[in-house]
Amino acid sequence: MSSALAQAPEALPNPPTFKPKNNPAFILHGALKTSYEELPVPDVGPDEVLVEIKKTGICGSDVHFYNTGKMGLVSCCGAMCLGHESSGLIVRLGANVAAKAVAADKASDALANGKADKATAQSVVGKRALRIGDKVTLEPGVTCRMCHDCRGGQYQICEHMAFAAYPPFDGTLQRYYKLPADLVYPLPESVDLVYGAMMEPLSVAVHAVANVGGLRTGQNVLIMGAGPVGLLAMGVAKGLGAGRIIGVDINQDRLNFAKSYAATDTYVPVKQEANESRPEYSLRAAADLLLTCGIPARGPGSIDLVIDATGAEVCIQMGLNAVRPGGVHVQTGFGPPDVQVPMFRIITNEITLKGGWRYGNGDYPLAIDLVARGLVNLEPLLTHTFKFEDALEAFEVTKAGKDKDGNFVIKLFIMAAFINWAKSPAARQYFFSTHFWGPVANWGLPIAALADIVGKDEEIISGVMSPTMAAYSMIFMRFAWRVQPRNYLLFACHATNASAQLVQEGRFINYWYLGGREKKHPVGSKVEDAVGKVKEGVEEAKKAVKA
Amino acid sequence: MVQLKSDNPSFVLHGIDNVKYEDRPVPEISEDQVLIEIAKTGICGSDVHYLKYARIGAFVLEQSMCLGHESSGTVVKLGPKASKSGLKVGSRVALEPGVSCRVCLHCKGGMYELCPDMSFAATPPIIYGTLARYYVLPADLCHPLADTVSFEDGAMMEPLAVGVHSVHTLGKCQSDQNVIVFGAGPVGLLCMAVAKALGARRIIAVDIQQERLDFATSYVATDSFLPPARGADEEPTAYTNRVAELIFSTLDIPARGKGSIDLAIEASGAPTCIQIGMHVLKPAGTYVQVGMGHNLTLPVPFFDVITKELKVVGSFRYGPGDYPLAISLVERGLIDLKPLVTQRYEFKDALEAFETTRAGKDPQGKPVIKCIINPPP
Repeated sequence: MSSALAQAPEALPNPPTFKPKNNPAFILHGALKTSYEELPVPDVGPDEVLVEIKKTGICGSDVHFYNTGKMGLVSCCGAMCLGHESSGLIVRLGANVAAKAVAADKASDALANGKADKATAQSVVGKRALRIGDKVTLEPGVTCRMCHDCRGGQYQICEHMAFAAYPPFDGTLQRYYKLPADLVYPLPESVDLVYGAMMEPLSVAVHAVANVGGLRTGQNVLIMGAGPVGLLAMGVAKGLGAGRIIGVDINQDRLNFAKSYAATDTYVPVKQEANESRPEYSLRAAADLLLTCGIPARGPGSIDLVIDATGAEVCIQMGLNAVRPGGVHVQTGFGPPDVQVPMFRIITNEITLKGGWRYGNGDYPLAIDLVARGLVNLEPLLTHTFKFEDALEAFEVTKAGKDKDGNFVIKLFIMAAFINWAKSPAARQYFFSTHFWGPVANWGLPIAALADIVGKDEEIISGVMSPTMAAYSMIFMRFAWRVQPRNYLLFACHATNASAQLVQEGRFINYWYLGGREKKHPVGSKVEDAVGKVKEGVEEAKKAVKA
Repeated sequence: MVQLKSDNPSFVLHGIDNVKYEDRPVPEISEDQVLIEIAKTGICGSDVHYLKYARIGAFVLEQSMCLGHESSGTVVKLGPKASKSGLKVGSRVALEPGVSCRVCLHCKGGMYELCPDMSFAATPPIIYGTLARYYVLPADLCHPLADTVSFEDGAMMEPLAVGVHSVHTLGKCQSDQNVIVFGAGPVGLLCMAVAKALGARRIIAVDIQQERLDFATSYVATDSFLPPARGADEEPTAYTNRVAELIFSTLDIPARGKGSIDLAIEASGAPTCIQIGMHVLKPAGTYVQVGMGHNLTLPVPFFDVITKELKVVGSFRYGPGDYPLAISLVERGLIDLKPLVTQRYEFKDALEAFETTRAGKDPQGKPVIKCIINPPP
């Protein structure tokens, strides 16, 4: 905590005694083990404030902790409250903070004396004093202020950083949270609390793009990864007047959203060949990116800045291969700790490679200002909300939404995402394309097969056609999967048909060869067999007579 | 465990020319602070100014204030959170006497010298100063001194850090550059010393006193220049142009290209020096104003500034990294501070130190660069 020779005069926190409500907290005990516990309500130091948390966003790191109980080199040891992207209302001011508010009131009263109305006077007084009831966003990282990095202007890398929901420090998924006064920022009237909770990840993007990346208006930016951080980076780039903003992802839906949100161009990388090494592939993919998007490798129109928000080795390599000579690559995405880079290109083209970690001095104020001025729109990114008592569900939903192997779909999450997509221009384009109507027409086939399974007798099944149809559909399953862009509707159509045809074949075999027919028509089948035998007998007799 | 003395004799300013020795309470420490027993204290022009005028600009003496801010000492007590800094009882340190708020944009942005809530020793409204037995500072503002660096050197780290801030941090002086320094007083000399330590090729000292120039060239300067007096009817502009031309011709310095002046440090505050400095700088050169003169609203030759795209920078005290670099340069023998200590005084004769500094010469006629005062016995 900071200290000064000149101590503030004896002052009390405001309010001097504070009667809190209870303080339930969402606690992580270990991987996939959570519970709600009561945590004590902290006392505020002279330079701190107590905030009643109103909104908290969930980040990939929270989910990762929930899933695995660790992140990178850090393990969750013992109970820890989760959450770090929050906004809320100030409910208590520390002694010095309260004194500053009083002094600010006095100063603005003096200014206002007959000359201007008080509100104007208050904003003129300068750094806005914090007051009870203020709507604020939280910067949840408390640093030592004294080390070489804190004093040198890079507090984000302070080795004594105490960060919310980073072991062993409790996070913000509780009712009350305290922070030093300089780490809470008042939100303008026009910015809702729910967007206040998005200032944390937005500040990460601001830090990467503006601070570390040094984006200047008119520059062209390549952003690898269209997840939350990537999308926010695109939003920041747009808000700061970038020229072209190219979003890259392997997921077309994410890119469709990115295009409707802030990207000017999107690109899905070509696939890696079987015998192609990663460095060869990423070089080829980078060249293909430039060619496909019509971007020169150098000079006017080339890529000035790359932000990697994936952490994936191929993406990092791709970005370093696509950026112009003399350009800048900022790494924010977390992936494997060690990654191969195209060093030859870095040297001979004097590429600058920088790490971007969380946010530093000035990033939160810039983020808030970008939103308040309407230069960044956070609304499309808010997919849905949960009540505090449903926090676990929120984690599970976020987890499932990102889990590629998840074979269950949680309606709420998907619905929310789908509705947002359905409203976009990309959706309109889709519903007018053969990409959609082709498969729609094809669905006639599996629907007919299903109707036959349910409603028709085995007698109508052709033992040859069914496996043939199954094989046909399997070929087109592969087609639908491998075509660019991937056609899930067509794939589902043929997968359904292949299954249905195999079921029919199974029914056929069972009916004619495994006694199904006898079971189904015990008398009738015998009669038919008998009739058949008689018929055969008659035919043979006829032949014998003729001969 | 060091036995603390119970008294804290302090040299306190009450008003113009009104100083008294007082026994002030030994200060308490808390949290991240340490208590230092002062070993040596140097006197600066600003201290003398407060004695004579009880103000400097907007800083006006309102309460009695202990003087002194250039000191070194020994850590005698550590606050509960101070051990993280690596300091121990007995650590020998140079004091960085400015406590900033740590939480404003300037502090968090790496320019704490601009903090509006800076509490600086012997600067109103602060009532504390280092001309006492004990002083309290946060642990990170006490910079450890190697055993080979004396307490006198330690006391001079404060003005040396000013030199480092001007020449290195803001002036960005590089090896093999040519530097001109206006004013060969203590600050100017220390700026020259930093330039030399950083590998400057030529260091040109400019002053109106030949004695000071002689010392400068015997110390670190490669060249010196004594400007001629201005003619009775000579226009100021014509005068400064003439002087600039003289510098070029007598010292064989071109206006641009190889051998031209990269960096100008103004450590006198004199208006003509400001103009001459901007005239002699090469295109895209850097001009650093550290000297605070009597009148601070001055004519500036903007034609040079614009057409040569000069970088004009103000330098105030010191910021992150300046003290550590200053200490390092002395420890490595790249700067020798000993020739700059010209007079020494006992604590009881502190007032004499002030008078001598003001006079510029001691009663024996020896010029003053830096007076060092011993601690109370």
